[in-house]
Amino acid sequence: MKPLILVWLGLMLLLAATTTTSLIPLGAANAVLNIVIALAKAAFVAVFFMHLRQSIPLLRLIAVVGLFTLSLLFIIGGADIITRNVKPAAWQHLVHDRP
Amino acid sequence: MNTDNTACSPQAQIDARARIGMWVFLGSEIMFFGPIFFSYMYGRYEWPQAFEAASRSTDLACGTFNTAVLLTSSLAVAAALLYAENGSRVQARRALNAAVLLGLLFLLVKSYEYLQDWHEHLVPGPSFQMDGAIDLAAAQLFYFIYFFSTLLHALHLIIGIALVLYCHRYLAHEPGHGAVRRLEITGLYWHFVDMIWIFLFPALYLAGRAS
Repeated sequence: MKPLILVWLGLMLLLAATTTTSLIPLGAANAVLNIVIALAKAAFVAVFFMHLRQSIPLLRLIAVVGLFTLSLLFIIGGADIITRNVKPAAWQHLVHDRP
Repeated sequence: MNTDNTACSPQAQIDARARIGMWVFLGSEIMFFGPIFFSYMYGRYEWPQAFEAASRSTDLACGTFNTAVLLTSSLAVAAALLYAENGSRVQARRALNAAVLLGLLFLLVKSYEYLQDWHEHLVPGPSFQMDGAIDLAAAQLFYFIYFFSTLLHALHLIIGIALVLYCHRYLAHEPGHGAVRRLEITGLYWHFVDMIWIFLFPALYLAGRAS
């Protein structure tokens, strides 16, 4: 029971940290801190509450494959959004050129 | 919990299969929630100021309180499993009661927030209005993501509460290894739903608070 309570205390401290730092103007570091703290909280939950620490490698593999597939969505989809030049379609030109 | 030394017994094999099944399901759930986060990231990248302004208009106190409630409910479910494994059924059921109450408290606070949003005309639609919005269309897009993701999360939480109640009953009527296994698998689902909220909270409530 004691390890579980320690994990919970850790989660509460991280929650306090993320809420407090988000109120202090740090520029881009605000978003980075929020993401890092959220990842840390999720890792706490997965490793201790979901027993990934004591689990067989297959379960960890399933979790990693899920995250890997998700990262493909973010990386490939994100690369498209960042690099694409949006050009208006032909009919949009027509609408704009109309006097 | 997983113990490798008894991996050959039929019970342990059923346990392992149940665990794998739930983890694969959770893997598919990642892909269910993932695109919502992706659309959020797209909006934040395309209209950063409008998204941050819209995020500032959510209720930070309610969001922080609800995060604490959910994290505590996860502790309750994890504790219930530990008690059930050690054969202390009464304590396990008490911990499950706490988890259900915390889950309901979360839903209550969220409903209060929805009511506030409704009164402030923040529900996307013809009457959408946000004071001092730079880009009303982008702000509406933020609120569309906000409602879609939190409602989907709430739906998952309701299913989680139903599963915990089922485990509670099972533990009372048929205590034994089967009840512990069901509780463990339900716990995985509950913690996953908690994890989704861990990421929704900073995205929807904390973005642009300081700017």
